[in-house]
Amino acid sequence: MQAVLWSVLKLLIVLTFILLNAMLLIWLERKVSAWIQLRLGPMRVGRPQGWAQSIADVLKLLFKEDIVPSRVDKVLFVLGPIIAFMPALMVWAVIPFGPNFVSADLNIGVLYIAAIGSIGLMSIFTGGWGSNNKWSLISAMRSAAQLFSYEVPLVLALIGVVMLAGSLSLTDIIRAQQETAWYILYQPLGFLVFLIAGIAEVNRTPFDLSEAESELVAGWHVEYSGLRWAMYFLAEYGNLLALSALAATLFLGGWTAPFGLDFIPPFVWFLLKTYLFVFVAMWIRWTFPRVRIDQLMDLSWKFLIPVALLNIALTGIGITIFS
Amino acid sequence: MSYVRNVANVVATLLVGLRVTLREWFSRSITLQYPEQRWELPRGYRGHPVLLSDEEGKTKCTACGLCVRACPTDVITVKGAKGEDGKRVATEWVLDMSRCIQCNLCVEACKFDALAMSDRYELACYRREDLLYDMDTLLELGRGDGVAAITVGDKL
Repeated sequence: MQAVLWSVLKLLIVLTFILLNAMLLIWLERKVSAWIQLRLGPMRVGRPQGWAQSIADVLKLLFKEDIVPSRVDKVLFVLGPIIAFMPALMVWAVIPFGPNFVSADLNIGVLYIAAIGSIGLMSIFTGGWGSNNKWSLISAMRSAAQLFSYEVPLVLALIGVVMLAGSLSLTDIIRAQQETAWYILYQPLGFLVFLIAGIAEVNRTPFDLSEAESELVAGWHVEYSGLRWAMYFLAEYGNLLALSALAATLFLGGWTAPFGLDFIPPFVWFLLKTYLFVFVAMWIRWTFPRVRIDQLMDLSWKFLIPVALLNIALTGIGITIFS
Repeated sequence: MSYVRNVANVVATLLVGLRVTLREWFSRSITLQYPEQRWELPRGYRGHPVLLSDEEGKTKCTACGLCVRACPTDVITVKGAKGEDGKRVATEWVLDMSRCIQCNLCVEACKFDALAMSDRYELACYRREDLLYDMDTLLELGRGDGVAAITVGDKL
């Protein structure tokens, strides 16, 4: 009984954590973009620093009219945002927040995450196809091509980590890093590939071709408004957070404390490392312009995949020599 | 080999870009929080003309009408009468701010130093009639700070 209650409680904590963080990330993104562009960003709603801006935005979106355009495929149109939200939440099931704080410690955690990640594409395609809008459809097609291409290097980059840890479970990977060192030291190439492919996976600039405001208006969510649009938006930031948490777990030792700084609780370390990647992703977003579609494909197939394969080969050679 | 060099070049240029944004990230914002923070106006700033008063707080205007003549958009209305000491003094001085082009010609025309340009720039109001500034208003504004910091141009 107590075990059931505890797991339900964990689930609730994780859910609240993600939703609050997604809102925080939206605010943070606006702030970071403003700082990089020598602006101040939101300042008026909530002092100091306009902290309540996201809350105000969400409230506004909640009260907006629920518009379903007349000639959309209604089932798909309604389903799209729901599917978008699902993988963003599901990924968190296997991510350890602390030594004993993981909702479901699957022994195939990494594989699970790779599988869940590809559902995100379904949501974009569902929404894009269901909207009955050419921009949405173009965006959905692009997104499909992009995510297929970048799933491959992403998973190949994860293989190096799995080879070193000898396990697919995220908890085991963290334990293995605790015994040796953070895998970013052993896997710099793998980390680089993971970072690039990861940013492409969550559809962020410079790889946000499916959103491309300047050509596709808003991409697959042109027809969406109000709460449905908010769900797509929150899912996007939920995905970013999940990616950052994954990067922190796989390459920066997750919740383990570096330099023997054990007095800071593991949960805080996990958050710090996660937000480090969030900042890096935002930094990259506000630095680089969007790539062209052919450049996008070239980068994946002609650069990331060979490099990821090279990384696997090097890791294999290293393991054979040193063990 | 050229492939490797190309990749190295690309990575280097990307890092240059990242360095630029990182530098801007930690430099001061140039945004001014307008209603709370204000600009420091340049010394020659010309708002609209206001009336200056003498030591006793009365207008220096004698209703000679030179400003009315100088005004290119014909927005000044002046009426005068003989004061107690026998000198002419303005009784009515109205500026129609809806048409004033803030050209400074009235100030240059005035022989009695009764006019100056103020540095007032927040002129928005709800009704058109509110843009007709009467003598009391203009005198009051003329007693404020930031008036007639310098007079632009020579007196005619």
